[in-house]
Amino acid sequence: MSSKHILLVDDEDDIREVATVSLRAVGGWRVSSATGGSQAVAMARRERPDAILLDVMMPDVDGPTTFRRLQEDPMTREIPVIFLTAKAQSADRREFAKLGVAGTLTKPFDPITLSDQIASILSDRAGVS
Amino acid sequence: MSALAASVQTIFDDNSGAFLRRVTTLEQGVGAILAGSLGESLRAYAEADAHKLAGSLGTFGLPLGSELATRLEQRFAGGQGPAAPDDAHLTQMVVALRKQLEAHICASGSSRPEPEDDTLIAGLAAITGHGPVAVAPGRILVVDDDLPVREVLASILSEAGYDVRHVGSAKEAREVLEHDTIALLLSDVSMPGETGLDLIRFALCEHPETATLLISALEDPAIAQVAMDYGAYGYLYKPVRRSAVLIGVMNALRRRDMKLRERRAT
Repeated sequence: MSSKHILLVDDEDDIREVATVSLRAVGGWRVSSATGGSQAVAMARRERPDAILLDVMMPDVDGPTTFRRLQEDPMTREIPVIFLTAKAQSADRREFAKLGVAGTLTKPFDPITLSDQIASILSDRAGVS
Repeated sequence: MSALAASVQTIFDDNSGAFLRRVTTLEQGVGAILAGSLGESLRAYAEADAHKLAGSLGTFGLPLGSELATRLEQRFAGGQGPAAPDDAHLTQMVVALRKQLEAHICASGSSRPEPEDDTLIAGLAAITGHGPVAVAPGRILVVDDDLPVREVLASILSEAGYDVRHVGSAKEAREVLEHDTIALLLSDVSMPGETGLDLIRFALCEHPETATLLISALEDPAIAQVAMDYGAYGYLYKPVRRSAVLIGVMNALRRRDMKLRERRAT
């Protein structure tokens, strides 16, 4: 049986690297990664991941814009998206929820629990739908 | 250490230069705020770098580092503006941030436990934990595996009135650093065995009151950048003119002197 596939989107090398290692080692995820919003949309269309972990603040196309583009595309609109946001912006969580994201995780994250947090958000979403 | 922890540590090590560069930007930004001269370009860079540090450091086991970076990010977001109540603590915050990052890098490099520093863990009071540090002209240690080169460098410095020693390897330099008080380490980059970069990293961790200056025939900006990230006070290219050596040494010693005075004052 193939493992679940997550698309990780962040412009920071260290964050992509550590999240990739964490998700593979702890959660058994198959991970692909993108460094910006435009690349993420293209990869999501092509690879149809089971979930997308999406940084909010990126210099290219930011997280909310990327999310809207994913929502507008029938090929990607059903993919659950989890925002990854720095603590300073965590007050925006309610706004993010209104957009329709599956959940929001805060940076810095714990590499040991990241996978469980994602599983928990996806599980809650599955329960709701 | 688990495989995951080891991988996370490796990623931290690989990115430590970038983290230090960002702290340097924050230091420049804080300096500009306190001087009342924070321009938009530096403000934007400093805010962005603080944001990146805030999002990263906690993931690598530096939660206080993330906390300090978050506060600095919020301050930079406000621009120069009128003086904010926390401005008096900005220097302490950015010094504490660098201190914590450097301690983590040192702990990683030597595989020894991170030094316990209750004041650091307590937060900004870290700085006040330092006792007075003697500021003395001090001795210069020249390190180069090429005997004629180090003799010329030692001669230039001796003639200028400096107290100089010279050795031919990083290993010998470590021994001198252990037993002698060295104000400035002037080291070649490419040497058999341990390189000058490794040596200044060691000095930064174990002898933070020693200023470091690198000299190399390699005109590679990337190496120079790494050296500066590690904390070197300068980088000289061979062949080097007498005046360049003396100016580089004077500047490095002056910066060391200022740093030690700042520590005593805080």
